[in-house]
Amino acid sequence: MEETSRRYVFCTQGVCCPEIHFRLSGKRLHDVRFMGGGCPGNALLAARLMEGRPAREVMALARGVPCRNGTSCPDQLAMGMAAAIAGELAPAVSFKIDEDPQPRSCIGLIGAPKGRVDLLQRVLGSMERHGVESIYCLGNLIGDPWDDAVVEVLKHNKIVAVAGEQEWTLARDKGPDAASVSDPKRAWLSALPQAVSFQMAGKTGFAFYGRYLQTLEGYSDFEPFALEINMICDLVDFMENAEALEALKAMIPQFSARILVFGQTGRWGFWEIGDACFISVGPMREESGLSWGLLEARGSDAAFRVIREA
Amino acid sequence: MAESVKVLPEEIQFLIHVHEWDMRTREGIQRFRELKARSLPSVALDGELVYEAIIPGQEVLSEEIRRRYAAKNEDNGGPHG
Repeated sequence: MEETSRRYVFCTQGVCCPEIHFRLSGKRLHDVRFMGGGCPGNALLAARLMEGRPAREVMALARGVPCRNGTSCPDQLAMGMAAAIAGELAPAVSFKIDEDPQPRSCIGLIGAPKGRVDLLQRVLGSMERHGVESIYCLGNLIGDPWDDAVVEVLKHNKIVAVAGEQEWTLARDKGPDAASVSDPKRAWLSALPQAVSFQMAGKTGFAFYGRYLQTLEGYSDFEPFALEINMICDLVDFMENAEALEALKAMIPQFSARILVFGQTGRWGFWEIGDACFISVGPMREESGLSWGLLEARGSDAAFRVIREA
Repeated sequence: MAESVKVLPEEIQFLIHVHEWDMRTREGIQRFRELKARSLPSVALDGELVYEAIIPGQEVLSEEIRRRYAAKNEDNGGPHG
């Protein structure tokens, strides 16, 4: 019987690290991370020693360990685990990431198809001529009224469709168009990933739509790729706050990804900051014609350009 | 950054409350922007951005804290005013 595995984020009191992340799989503890403060060396060792051990055994050892303010990081972990087991701490469900494990040399990026199947088919033809291996489509996927054909095209061509704010709002049964969305359609929307991670030119890439990810219940500043999201959305306002670019450059060494792709602004853009590159995905349909983004591996670098066709 | 503050002389630490903002968090980013800082690390004293892109030496930082403390107390008519 498959064990249920749930991830938890416990907000601490009185200790150096503001959050403790852990996973309970059946009755065992996994993936403990003390986030945002404290001694990283001791924390990492403790996590390795606890990995896979019975949860109650760890709780018995960790509970009551003293440090400061009448508690400690291990003591707080025991509290978090107890709350999780008692059902008082809800599992953390933040954004879903579609992980593309295969290193890619040529990726196509599409923004806002808005249900235009005819235009999408033309873009796909162009991508095929350029040797695109993998296609990511960031948000604003469907049009009004909903056309099932665009969903079929996305599925048939194995396009990784990343939920934008429109899709997320509809999936939650909200917004002015929510009433027109049937249950099967809502189920499809709910199953969409909210981000995709990929590998290119020996670097990790991360693509997401935008700021709405930060509003998801369970979103933590310390979860994978949250740093990149926070920097892009809040520090540099999707690269529009030029005054903060120096600060962004200082933070990049802490990033997991070095190729960052986002779609919220709806405008094409490309920036190289430090050893990272940032790509803003524009709309598929522009006044002058169709456009899509071509991301290619060039040795140890990733090169980007917008392909425009009348 | 907080480590360099912790090693300040005790008489200086007595005069100040220290808060370190984590730039990885949304709260830290918000504070960075409120201060209109542009680079890291940044040090603010009494809500005013004073040092950017540097960690001031102990002597420099201690002197600045003393100067500001004295000025505040002068404005308030002295420590007992």
